[in-house]
Order: sequence, then structure tokens, then C-alpha cells
Amino acid sequence: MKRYGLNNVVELARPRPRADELPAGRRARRIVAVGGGKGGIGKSLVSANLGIALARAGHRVTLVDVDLGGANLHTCLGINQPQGTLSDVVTKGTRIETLAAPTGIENLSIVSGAMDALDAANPRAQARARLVEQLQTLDTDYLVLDLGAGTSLHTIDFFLLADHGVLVLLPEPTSVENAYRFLKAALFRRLQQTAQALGVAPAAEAALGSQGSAMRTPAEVVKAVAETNPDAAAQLERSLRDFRVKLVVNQVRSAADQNVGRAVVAAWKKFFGLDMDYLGSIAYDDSAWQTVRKRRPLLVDAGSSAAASNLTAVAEALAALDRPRSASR
Amino acid sequence: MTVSEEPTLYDVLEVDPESSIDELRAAVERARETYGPESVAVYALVDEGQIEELRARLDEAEEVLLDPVRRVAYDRSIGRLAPATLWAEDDDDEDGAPLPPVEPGPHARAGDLDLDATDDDEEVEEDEPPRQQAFALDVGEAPGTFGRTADTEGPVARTPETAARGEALLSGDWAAAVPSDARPPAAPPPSLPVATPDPVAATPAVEEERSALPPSLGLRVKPAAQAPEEEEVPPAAPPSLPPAAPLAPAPAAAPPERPPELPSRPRGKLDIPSDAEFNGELLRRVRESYGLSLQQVAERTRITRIHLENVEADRYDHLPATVYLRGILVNLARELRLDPARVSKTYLLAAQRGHARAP
Repeated sequence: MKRYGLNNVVELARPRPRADELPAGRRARRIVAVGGGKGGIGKSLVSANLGIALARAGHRVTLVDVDLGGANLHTCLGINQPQGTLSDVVTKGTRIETLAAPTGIENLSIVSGAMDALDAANPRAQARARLVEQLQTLDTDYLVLDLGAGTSLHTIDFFLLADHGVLVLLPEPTSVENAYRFLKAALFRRLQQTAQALGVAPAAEAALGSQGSAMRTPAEVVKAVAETNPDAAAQLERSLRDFRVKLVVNQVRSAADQNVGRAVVAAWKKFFGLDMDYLGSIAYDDSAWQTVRKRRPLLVDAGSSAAASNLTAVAEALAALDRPRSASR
Repeated sequence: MTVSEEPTLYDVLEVDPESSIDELRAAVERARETYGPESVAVYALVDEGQIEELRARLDEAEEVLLDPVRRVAYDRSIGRLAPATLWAEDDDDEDGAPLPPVEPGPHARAGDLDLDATDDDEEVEEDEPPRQQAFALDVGEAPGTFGRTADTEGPVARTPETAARGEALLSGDWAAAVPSDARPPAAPPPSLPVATPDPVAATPAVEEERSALPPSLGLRVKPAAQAPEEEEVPPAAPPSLPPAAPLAPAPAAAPPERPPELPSRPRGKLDIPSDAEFNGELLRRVRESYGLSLQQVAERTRITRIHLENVEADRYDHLPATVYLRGILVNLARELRLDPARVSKTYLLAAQRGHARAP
């Protein structure tokens, strides 16, 4: 398995307040990261329309394109690339909130991630830490991060940073394969981070590496750590339980495709022992790519299409997770 | 009974153990859809071996849990039913079929196990039937037996292999108690008597007679069903005389279907001395001498192919714990018409040495 370094990442594992722990009258501020490993599976489409749906529901939403090397979220929204981008945060020390540009949709703003300067798409750890710190303190209700493809370190870390890691996949082997690769990389990075923070990294590493290339389940690692440090093992287990991915299946065409989401949730639980929330599927819909070509958001341009109503339902399912159980609106 | 971490067949199907047969059937269907070869949801999720292992367990769950008789036996083997319940239900089910006077009490079992424990001597080839009987009892019988086994080997009957075998053996016993036309068709063909290494002993006539018997009668008669005076006999009993013969007006009944016959004279090609030490290489040669592929053996024995490969490659590190490995070896040996006791004993010894050598 690919190994990642453990430096400069511990702060990402900091727990965030739960929705019901926030002061009354103040809505939970939530970070949503939309990823999936593979390119072209609709991450940006989901991010943009999720943002629109949440904004329409009355939340203040900031979309941030963190596909640093291939930012095009603005295109999905039909606007030009904003003047200031995340690269200014890295190179000039600009604050992120000054970069947020209006989208023409009430409550929705966007921060472009374009980093065209050579090498800026792979910011150093220090710059990344600054980005993360500013993102976490941005004043908004929902921060929606549109992640790039692949399993690069900063992509994984943005995913782990989020309160809701949304995994987008298509019901086809290439996409599923990449999605699992992405998930496993994220899960094991979470495991390593937490183990490091708890001071049990050696035990966890030993458990991870003890059987060659065989993938160890989280439970096995927790068990191994428990042999020497039961308290740390309990915390590690909690942290891994919090790794609760939200699944969206895009481009669903057939009845069999409809079942893929449920099957992925079951298989992930079966083999990794972890829960996953299924937010829903999005129908394969000609209007989706037509609106992309027109550079108009689906929810705006084809609001009555099947895909649009699916996306709205996904947004509602996501928002429902954040409503305190006692005080649902 | 020790609670094992090994998931039960109910866990495999993700259902409540109280589920109705219809719920179980639906769960099997759902699981096939989710974890079957056509399902994209398991693509590249884990090693192919892990998926195969799961699919083998699903097969097992379907066979065992959808068969009411086997399900009861299985529930008992995982400690969900007291033996008393089982026997009571059995009486109801068989509406008057003459049950052998089975006594699930500990006494007969203890005798068997003692017998098993004392037959360490080398000329063991002849007492195969009693051994197998003991094995059957080891795996799925009364709590007393469990306790005894667990003393030395830890929990039994909770892995795919041993559970499957335990069920098979148990159901073999059950089949013996039921008129053949009432037998659940799903019950796997109980093993035939294993060919003895002495080629003369297995005359065609004897073979013939044996296969005409309901196999479980030939091998796994409940001890209590035998005449009391026979209890001391087994070790000395001539192997060609199935101990159950006196019981059997049954040969008239057609024997349950069994897999296609192996070549009748397998030993002709491969000369295996009676003191052979079995290792993976030798087992592979025997298998190949029958012209059987790994896949075929896997299908016939319901042992996962990965395990078979690892057995043949002597990859001890990749094999399951001894108590489970023994079940695999016994079944494999039976399929290859080898002496199960000899195969498991020598192979396990070699495996132990192999482990000891490893760092």
C-alpha cells in the first residue's frame, strides 16, 4: 500500500463540534468535500448543484474549487474564473474570504482554486496548513469543497478535513475501482493520523504492515493497538467510526444501477466494518451534459429534469444529517 | 461454549437468527446480488480470495439455513438451541419414522472420544469408521463434547470449513434417521467409506456393497444404536464390515445421489506407502492422478479453492488454525480416497514443524 508521511497532518484530525453543541440560533457550519478518485464522474456537477440546492434552502454556501491543478467549478456555474484564486492565499497571503466571488445565485459564492503558477498546484505542507486553517474558520453555513481526481495527499486531506466526505461514483467498474482506492487511501490516512496523534503509531503501523500486502481491516488494527493500549484503541475506534462516507451514485441508467448504491454500502460494511450513508442516486439524464455544454447549472437551466430533482433530494438528505434530532425545522 | 468472533451464517446473510424461511430466502437473493460475480459493488474492493471466501460462505448459508433440518442442527451447533429442543422437534417432524434410539447424553460420546484418543498406534488404517464417527461428534455434538474439544483445540465448528463439515456430518446422521424418500435433497452426499490402503481389502464386491448402503449407516452410526456388546469392538472390527450392517434393512432404499465416481482403481497409478508423510506436493500428485482440477475438488468438497492451493503449496502461514485445517485435510483426503487420519496427522505435523522454523 502506498505510504504517506505523517508530518503536518495531525491538526486535521481535530474533532469539530457537533450540530447540537453549537450555540442556539447559530446554524452548524459544515464542511462538505466531494470526491471520488476518478475524473469525469460528475464531482463538479454534484458540488455545484449541491451548493445551489443548499443555498436555495436558505443556507449560506461557499463553493471552493480545490481541484488545484484542474479547477473548473466556475464553468459549471456559468461564470468566468474569478480574479483572485487560492493560489493568492499560498503566494501572497491573501485571506480566503476576500476571494469569494458571487455566482448570481443568492447565498452562493465561489472561491476558485486555479493554481496556474508552476508547482503551485502542489502546495507545500506549510501553505496547505494555512489553506486548511482559513477554510475551517470561513464564515459560512456550508463550505463545499470540490476535490480533484486521484488520491494525492492534499486531495485526501481535504476529504478527511470535511464533516461530510461525499463519494461520487458511477455504476461501472473503472469508477468503482478508483472510488475504493480513494476510500481506502483516505481511511488508512485517517488511521495513521489518529494513531500518530494518540502516540500509538508504531503499533498501528505494525498491524497495518504485518501481513505483506493484505489489506487489514480497521477492526484488526484497533485490536492490535488494544493489546498494548486499550484507551488509545478506544479513541482510535471512535475516530474510525467517524469515517462515515456519504455516497452518491451518478449516471444511473438501469434498475440494476439503482441497486449499486445499496450494494456498495453493504460491501463496505461487510469488509471494512464501517457504516456509509447513501444519499441517493442521480439519473443519467441528457439534460445534464446539455447544461454543462451550455455552461449553465443543471438546477437553474433544467430544474424540472430527473437529474435535477435527484440532486435536490441528495442535498436534502445531506442537510437532514445536520439537523439536530430534537429540533428539526 | 466459547463465543467465537467468526461470523455465523446469519451474520453472513445480515439477517436476524429468528428470520423466517422467506426472509432468509430473500436475504440469500440480496446477498447474491450484492456479492456475486456480476456485482460491480465488490469490484476491486478486496482481494479476490476474500470475495471467494464470502461466496463460499453464502453457498453454505443457503444450503444450511434454507434446509429446515440442517438449520436446526446448525442453530444447535452455534449454541442457539438446547439439544432437548432439537430432539423434541425431531420427533414431531419425522411422524413416526423409526428413529434410532439416539441418546444425546454424554456417555456414548465420552466412549467414542476415548476411543479416538487411544488409537495413536500406527496400524490405524483399519479403524477408520470409528475415527470418523469421533470426528463427526467432535464437530457438532452435545455441549459436553464441545467442552472436551475446546479444552485442547479451542472453539470448533465456527469456520466455514468445519461448520460446513459439521453440518454435513450431522445431516448425514439425520439422513440416517429419516426414510430415504423424506431426506432433504440438499443434504450433501455423505462420504463413502474411505478406501483402505491395502488394495486387497477393497474388493469390487465390497465396494459394491458399501455404496449400496446409505453411506451414513456405513460410517456414522450413533453409538447408542449399536448393540451394547459391540462397544468394545470397533478398533478390531474388520473394515469391510460396516458396523451398521445389522441395522440395515435400508439397502433397499436407493442411496442418495453422489458425485460422479472416481476411477475405481486410483492407487494403480500412484503407489503410496502406508506410512507416507503427506505434504502439499503429495496431495497434489494424488489429485492429479485422478485428473481432478483444483476447481473440481473445490466444488466437490466445498473447500475454498484458495485453501486448497495453500495446502498444496504448503503455505502454512496462509492456512487457517489447526482445528479448522484438520477439517479441510480430512475432507480433502476423503475426496482423494486417502486415509483422512493419516493425511491430517502427517500434514499437521509438517505444518507445525514449518511454523516452528518460521521466525
